[in-house]
Amino acid sequence: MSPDRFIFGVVMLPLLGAAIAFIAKAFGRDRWTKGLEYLGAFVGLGLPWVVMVATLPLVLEGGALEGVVGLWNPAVGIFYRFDGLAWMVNLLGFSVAGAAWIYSLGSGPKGPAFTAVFLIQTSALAATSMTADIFNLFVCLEVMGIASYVLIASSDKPGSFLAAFSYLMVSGTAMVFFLLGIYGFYRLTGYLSYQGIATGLASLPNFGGVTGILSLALITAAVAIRVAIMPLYGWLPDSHALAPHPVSAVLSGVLIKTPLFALSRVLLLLPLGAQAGELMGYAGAITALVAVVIALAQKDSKRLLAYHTVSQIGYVVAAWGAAIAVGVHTSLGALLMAGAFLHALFHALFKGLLFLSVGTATDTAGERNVYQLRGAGRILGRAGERFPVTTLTFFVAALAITAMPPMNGFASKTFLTYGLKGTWQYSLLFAASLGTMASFIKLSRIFWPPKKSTLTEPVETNPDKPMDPVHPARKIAQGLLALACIGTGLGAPALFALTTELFSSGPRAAGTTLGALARAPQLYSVDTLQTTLWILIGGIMVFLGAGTPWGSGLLRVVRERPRSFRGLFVSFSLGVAGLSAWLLFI
Amino acid sequence: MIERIALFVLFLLGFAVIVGHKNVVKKIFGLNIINNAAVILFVLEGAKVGNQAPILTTGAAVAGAAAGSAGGSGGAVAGAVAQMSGEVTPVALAPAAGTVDSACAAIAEASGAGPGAAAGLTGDLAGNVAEGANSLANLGAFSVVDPVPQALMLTAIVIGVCITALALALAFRLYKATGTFDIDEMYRRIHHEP
Repeated sequence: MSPDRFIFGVVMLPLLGAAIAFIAKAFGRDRWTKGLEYLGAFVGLGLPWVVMVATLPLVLEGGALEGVVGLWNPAVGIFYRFDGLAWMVNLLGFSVAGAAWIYSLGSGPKGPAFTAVFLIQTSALAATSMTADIFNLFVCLEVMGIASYVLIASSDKPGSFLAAFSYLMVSGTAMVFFLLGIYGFYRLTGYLSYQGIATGLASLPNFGGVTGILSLALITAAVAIRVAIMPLYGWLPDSHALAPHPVSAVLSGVLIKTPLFALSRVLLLLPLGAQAGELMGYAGAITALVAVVIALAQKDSKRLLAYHTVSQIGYVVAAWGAAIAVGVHTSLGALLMAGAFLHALFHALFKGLLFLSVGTATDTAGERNVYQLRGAGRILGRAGERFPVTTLTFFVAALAITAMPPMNGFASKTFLTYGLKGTWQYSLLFAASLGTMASFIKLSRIFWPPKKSTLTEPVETNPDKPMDPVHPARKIAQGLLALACIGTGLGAPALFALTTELFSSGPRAAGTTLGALARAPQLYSVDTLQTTLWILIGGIMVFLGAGTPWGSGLLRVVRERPRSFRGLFVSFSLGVAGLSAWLLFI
Repeated sequence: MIERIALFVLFLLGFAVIVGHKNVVKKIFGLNIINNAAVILFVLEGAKVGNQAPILTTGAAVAGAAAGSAGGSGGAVAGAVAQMSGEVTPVALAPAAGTVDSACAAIAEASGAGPGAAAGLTGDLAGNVAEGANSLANLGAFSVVDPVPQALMLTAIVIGVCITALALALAFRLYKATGTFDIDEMYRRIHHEP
């Protein structure tokens, strides 16, 4: 059977799984419900791996499956393209979603309805990664969004309703602007497929003038809301901090990166796309630094992690934007793009792990405040965790995010910053990594032994309270992700080669593959290890500095800065205006 | 032009309600208003080609499909119209530049000039636009609306309904949790509780 017969399995199987899970809801009896729900999850999250494995040889050869969905005639049909990029994004999505679903068995909302919505979201992720039609991209983003609003609200706290509502309003409004962008392109060119729009615009004088620029700016800004770069990140911290832990893991790990890589398809094809990518790259570098300062100021452990997501996506976008600006068919561009993707993939693994392990620790201790909680390892031990899985997995993930060798974060940050060396973005990213180090020293205090004198630990004061034992599903999911973090760290050079190979599918320079163009930089050289040492020392300095009265005063100002619903829209309008102005006057 | 301005005002009105109004239910109304403004804009654009319902007879559908594979959506319309006007000309298969405007031009060619003028179609786009607009007035019954924006907008409306329903459900839960519909008050009550 040829691959184009079953390639839609990655989209349709999760939908089928969702349907099965919904049917499970109709059964009154418990055993049937559970069985059907697990079957649905297996169909939706397990079977797509068969499709992935079956298509791997094809994408490794640099081939791509493309065509029109349902063999409609190309004038009205929807174009798709399943290539190395789509394969990699699906790999990211299905691995993190699978681990998060297993974790959800042991915590938070569960049941057929949760599984069904979760699977719909996964399906939308897969669809977003392979669409090549601008209106279909709109639909995929909306389906993904609607599923994620429901999932954020599913933790059933008032704060999560407000977070979901704010996200819905700002993202819903942004998608109407996206629609206006589609209108502009359709009016100018009469096409909806990326390729058609690109050729149509190229044949117009001045690439469609102001209408073309405005359409591109609207579409890019609407997607940038989903990616949560400055200044459009305002919705993210609340929703990621207040969602159930497995949902936070998927939101942070996968959901904000899929739109980014889907957007790269558009920007790489369209005229002026390179300039839009360049500006996004600059915004990404600034985001990396600013968000980490805000993260350092946070009290709530999950909110701290949520700001780190913004900061790390800033890293990814900085390299991604620079790659788009120089074009991915140059060796520098290929290096940067592969670095950006690897960091996105590795970030999905270690941030997913961080959300899960911190979630386990804070749930067991019943305390989320970084300043209050101490000795989480011991509390977990009393809750029946004989082998300290959660503590160990937390430290694996913390070492990964602070870019300590041999974890995967070290490898991806080395690749990514190697390509940016010598630019001003590099110094911003370096400063951001100091902040990352400092804030993770701060967060790891929840595992430090408690001070003798303090009685602030709520569990200590209430020893009669029965402890909920840590569910084995949580440990399994954390263990899997931790192994993935170490494994991908050790195998990073091979993964780098694979990534450049996969990204090279599509029109390439005659005879050369990008795998040959982009040399992986030496991972363990004196230079990189020296940088790591500087980050470690600098991070400790920043951490100590933040503890001084002056430092903590500054952080309080950052933490208590006013935030409002209106601010989300003001920043979106500013983002659109800034991007349009940049494209008009460059 | 006047419709465009009216839609722009409608859009701004909706956006102002979303940003300016404190009541969350009114904010949801605002989201609906801007969504509808975008929908009407699309439909308006489709209706520039013609104003008949885009219902194809069997033969016309085939011709349209053939033309469509040669060009863009503009081609599809052009092909369909060519069939309706009773003369299948090479025009339907000409590599239409793919714009709505070029569809106008193709319609003009099909009904008026006949096969001889087919070569002119691949010419300058700007010329086609003017030509298409001029001859459109003479076409009358043969002009159908561009069906693609209508199909797109059906999808967009469905999505809009989903978003509205979900937003209203969330607003209701927020009201039950905080006892207010005022967004600033909600922020205050939720973020100042531990």
